[in-house]
Amino acid sequence: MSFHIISRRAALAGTAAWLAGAATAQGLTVPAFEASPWAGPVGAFSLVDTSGKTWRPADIAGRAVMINFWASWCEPCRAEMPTLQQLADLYGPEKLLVLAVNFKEPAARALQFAKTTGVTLPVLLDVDGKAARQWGVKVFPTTLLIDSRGRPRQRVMGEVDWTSAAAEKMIAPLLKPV
Amino acid sequence: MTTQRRTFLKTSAAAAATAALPTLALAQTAPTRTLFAPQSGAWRTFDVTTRIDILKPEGVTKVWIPVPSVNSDYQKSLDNSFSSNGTTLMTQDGQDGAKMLYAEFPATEKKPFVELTSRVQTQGRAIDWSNKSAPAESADTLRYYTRATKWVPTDGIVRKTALGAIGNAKTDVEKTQKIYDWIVANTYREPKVRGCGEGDIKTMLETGNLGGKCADLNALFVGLCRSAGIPARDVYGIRLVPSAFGYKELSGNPASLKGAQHCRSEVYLKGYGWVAMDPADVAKVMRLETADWIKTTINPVVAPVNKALFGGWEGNWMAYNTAHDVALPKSTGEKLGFLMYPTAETAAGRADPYAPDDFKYQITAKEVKA
Repeated sequence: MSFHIISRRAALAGTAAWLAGAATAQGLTVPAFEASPWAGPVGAFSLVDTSGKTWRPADIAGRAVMINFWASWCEPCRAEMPTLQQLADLYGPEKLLVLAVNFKEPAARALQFAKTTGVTLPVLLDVDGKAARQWGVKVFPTTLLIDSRGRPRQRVMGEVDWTSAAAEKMIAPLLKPV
Repeated sequence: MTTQRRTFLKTSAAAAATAALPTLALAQTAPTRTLFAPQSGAWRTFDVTTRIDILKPEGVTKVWIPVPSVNSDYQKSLDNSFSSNGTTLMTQDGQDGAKMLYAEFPATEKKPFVELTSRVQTQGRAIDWSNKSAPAESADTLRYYTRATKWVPTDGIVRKTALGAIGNAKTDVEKTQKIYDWIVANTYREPKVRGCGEGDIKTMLETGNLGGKCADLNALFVGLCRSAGIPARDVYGIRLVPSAFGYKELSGNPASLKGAQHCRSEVYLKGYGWVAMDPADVAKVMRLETADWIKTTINPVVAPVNKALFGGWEGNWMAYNTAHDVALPKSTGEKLGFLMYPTAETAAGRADPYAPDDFKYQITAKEVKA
C-alpha cells in the first residue's frame, strides 16, 4: 500500500506540469468534467478487443471496473489517456480493471493509437456504436465506474486527470475494502 | 478520357511548377493587416487540385472527393478534369445535389490514386443593407432550410438557447444579429465539460464545449437560426489563397490546403435574399490571430471582421456544397454529417479525413490570370 502511495505521488508530480500546460493551452482554470450517479444497468455486452479477445460481463466481475469511451479524433480523450494508463498501472487489473472502448473507428486506427502512445490497456472496439448507445454515452470521453461488487456507480463526462485527488475520491469507493 | 487526362496532366504540371512559390511568398513577407472590408465585383479564377493516394489498401478501396457544386452570385463552378488508376464516376448526393468524384479500386491495385482539378470563379460578398429588393425565395425552399437534421436538431436546448439569445429582438435581421453575437461571445467561455460530441450541436450546447474541431460553430449558428424560424444553411468549402487584408487566420496557403477546409453560413432575410454570415471566423480571429486570446469584439483587430462577416465574406474561399447528412453512393458506412473532406473506405473501414495516416491527400490551388 505504501508503495502505491509513493508511486501515486510520483505520478501526480509527473503529470502536474503536463496538466498545467494543457490547462493553459485551453485557457481552462477549472476542472472540465461532470460526474453523476449512474444506476446502470450494465446489461449484456460482447466486445472484441484489438488482440481478438471477446469481453463479456463475466470477464469483468470481481473487481472494480472503469469503462472509458474514447476516439482518436477527440482531443480531450487523447489528453486524458496517459493518466488513465498510469492509473491502471498503479492498481493492476485484478484490483481495478480499466477498459478503453474505442468508439466507431477501424481496429487498425485504434491499434495504431495505442501503439504510438504506449497504451497497454485492453482496447475494446465498439465498431457500430452499439455499446455507447446501450450505456447512453454521447460525449467523449465518458468513463463509467463499476464497483468491485459489480454495482454501477458513476458516469464521468469529459476530460479527467485520473491521477488527481478528485479522481481518487471517485475511485476509492469502487475498490474492495482492504 | 485520354484527352481529358492529357488536359489534366498539362494543367497539373503547370500547377506543380509554381506550387512552391506561394509558400516562399508567405514566408518572406509578414502580412500587414489592413481594414477588413470584403467587397463584391472582382471575380477571381482558380484551378483547385485534390490528389488522394491510398497508402495501405486493404480489399476494395473506395474514394469520394467533394466537387464544387455551388453556382450563385458569389461563385461559378466551371469545369472538372480528373485522372485515376481506378474506375471513376462523377456523381452527386440525391438530396442536396452535392457533387463528388467517386473512384473505386480492386483489391489487386496496390497503389490507388485519384486526382481531380476543378476550375471555379469566386468573388467577395458584402450585403447592401439599404437595398431590400431581392426576389423572394420559394416557400418550399425556405421550409427545407428551417428543417432539423441528425446533427442539427432544432428543439430542446437548441431552441431554448436561441430564444435566450434573441431576447426581445423583433425582426429577422435583429434576431440573426443577436444569434451571431451569441456565437461570437460564447466561444471563449470555459466549457462545462471538456469532451466531444459526435458532431451534433445539441451535445455541444449540453457540454458547453463550443471550441475546437469537436465543434462546428457555424453549424450551431445555423441550428440556432433554424430553431428561431429563420432559414439558414451551412456552406462547406475551403480557403484557397491568403486574405487580401493580411489576416493570417483567414488565409489559405495555395501550395498546401490540407486543413484549410472551412464552413460558412447563409441566412435568408426577407428583402435581402441569402445573406453571408461567418461568426466562426470572428471567433477564430479572436482566439488565434494575435499571440493573445482577444476577448472583446471592440478590439481593433476584431471589430472590422465582426462587422464585415455579418453580411459578407472574402472571396479567397471556394464553396463545395450546402448538403447535410450526405449518403455516399456505394458506401457501406454511415451517412456523413457533411461532405467537405475527401473520404476513403477500405476493408479496414472508413479512413479518418482529419488524421489522414492511412490515406494521403493533398489539395492545391492556382490562380488563373486572364
